[in-house]
Amino acid sequence: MNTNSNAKNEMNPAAQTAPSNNPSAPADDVVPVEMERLNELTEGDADSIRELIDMFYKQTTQQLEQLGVAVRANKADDVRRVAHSCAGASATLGMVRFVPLLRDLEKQGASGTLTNAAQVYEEAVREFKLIQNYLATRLNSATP
Amino acid sequence: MKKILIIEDDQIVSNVYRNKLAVEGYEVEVALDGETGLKLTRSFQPDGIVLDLMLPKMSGVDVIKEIRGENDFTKLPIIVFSNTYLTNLVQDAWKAGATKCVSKINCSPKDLLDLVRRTIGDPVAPVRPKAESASAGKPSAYVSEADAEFQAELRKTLIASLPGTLAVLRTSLKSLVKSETEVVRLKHIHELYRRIHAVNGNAGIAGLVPIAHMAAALEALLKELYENPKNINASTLRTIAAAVDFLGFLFERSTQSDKQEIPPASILVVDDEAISRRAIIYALEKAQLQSISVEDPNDAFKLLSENQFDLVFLDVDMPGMNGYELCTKLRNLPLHRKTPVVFITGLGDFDNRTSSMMAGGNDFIAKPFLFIELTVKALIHVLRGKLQPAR
Repeated sequence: MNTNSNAKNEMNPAAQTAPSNNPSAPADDVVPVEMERLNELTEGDADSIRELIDMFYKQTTQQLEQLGVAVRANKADDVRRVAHSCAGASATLGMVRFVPLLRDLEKQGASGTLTNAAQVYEEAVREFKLIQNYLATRLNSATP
Repeated sequence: MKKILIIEDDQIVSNVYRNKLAVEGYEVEVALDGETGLKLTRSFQPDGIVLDLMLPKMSGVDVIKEIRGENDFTKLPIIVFSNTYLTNLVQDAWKAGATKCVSKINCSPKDLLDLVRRTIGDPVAPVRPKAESASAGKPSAYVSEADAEFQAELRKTLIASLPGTLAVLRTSLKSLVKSETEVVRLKHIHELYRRIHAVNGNAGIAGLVPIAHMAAALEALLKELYENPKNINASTLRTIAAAVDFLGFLFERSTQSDKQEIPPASILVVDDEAISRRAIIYALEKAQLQSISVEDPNDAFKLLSENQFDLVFLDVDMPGMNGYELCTKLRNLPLHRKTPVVFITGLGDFDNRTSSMMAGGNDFIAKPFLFIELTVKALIHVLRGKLQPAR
């Protein structure tokens, strides 16, 4: 069994699950990120979490740019494709409030009619910023 | 005489270990739940503890925390039985102060004895020459032979009980599937979980490694669902049913072969999105399954044309060639006519199985999947392919 007492788990899960004091965090009961999924995927290793989050930020920033272009150009299939990919990664990492917005865009794209895609897109961009703020607060509070 | 306390709720497992350690000269007490274990720790004052993590009344991790909080026991050796697939729980046990963690999957009574000797010491104080201990004085060939006989007898007894165990598991599964309310569903998830936990422990001591592996993975999935009922959905219930069915296959096979190790396997993961690929690879690594991952379906097809794989995970929505198209193409390759293919699809698309069947897929998993659910699926497909006779 690949476990030992010097396991790379150096983050304190208790600290990671403490409520955020971030003033820009949404007032909703639902936090933007299910930290359990991130922790499980990285086995709680601080460096792995940061690496994964960096990957997510880069990928999502690029995808949101592509989505913005597709929405403005009214290219429904591009909206569907990019929103689908972005939703998959976000769901894998437990971005629970971001995913429904992307699924909405995916659905609108699949239907061929971008009814209120511009508005949903703006909400998704805002939610992505909230995720970044939330994670910044959480990861900083977990640093010794 | 060294004193050992075994805290383990499975009476078969605890009796087997108790007998093994007692025969070797240890004084042994058994507690069948966490609370009793804690009380016995104080009254029996053992030289070491063998502790299961999944206990009624008080969890194994809480038992460790309580014990470590008392001055008398800060250095008391605690050997923990864990489930390899419950990574977070094992980490919690280390943090709480476990001395050693050992997987139940392949811990024979002899393995436990060796570990107890190394961690807690020989049964008697070193005043006596070492050669006088129960087995150390005997020729090693004799000891090995006796252990092998003991192990064979254990296995025979367990194998005889497997048909009855399977019937009980199927009844539990049926009740779970028919559950109409969340409360009832959770009750049946917990019941099935306890039964699978017992299968894991019993198969582990009897050396039935594939059964123990499969049961350990399913136990972890059931625990996850019990603790997070929001994850109970069509995909996870289907996976549980497939795992119970596959345990039936492994039970039948346990009487046919002595080969009990998990064979190595190669798995191909095709997903155009990096984070999803990473999640799939992580879930496979939980079962120590090696995989190759690619983002481009055309690169995947090239790899499939040139290499044998035991299992393929395919994302459905990929640019250039979607998962269904790739599956149709790979079915035309002689190497992959029967290779299991699992599609990773959105939960909303989960009921739409026509495209998958038409393309030649074998199974689905819904995104975002539980990591342990994917692990269970992978184990089912890999082991079935490796263990069933060529058709």
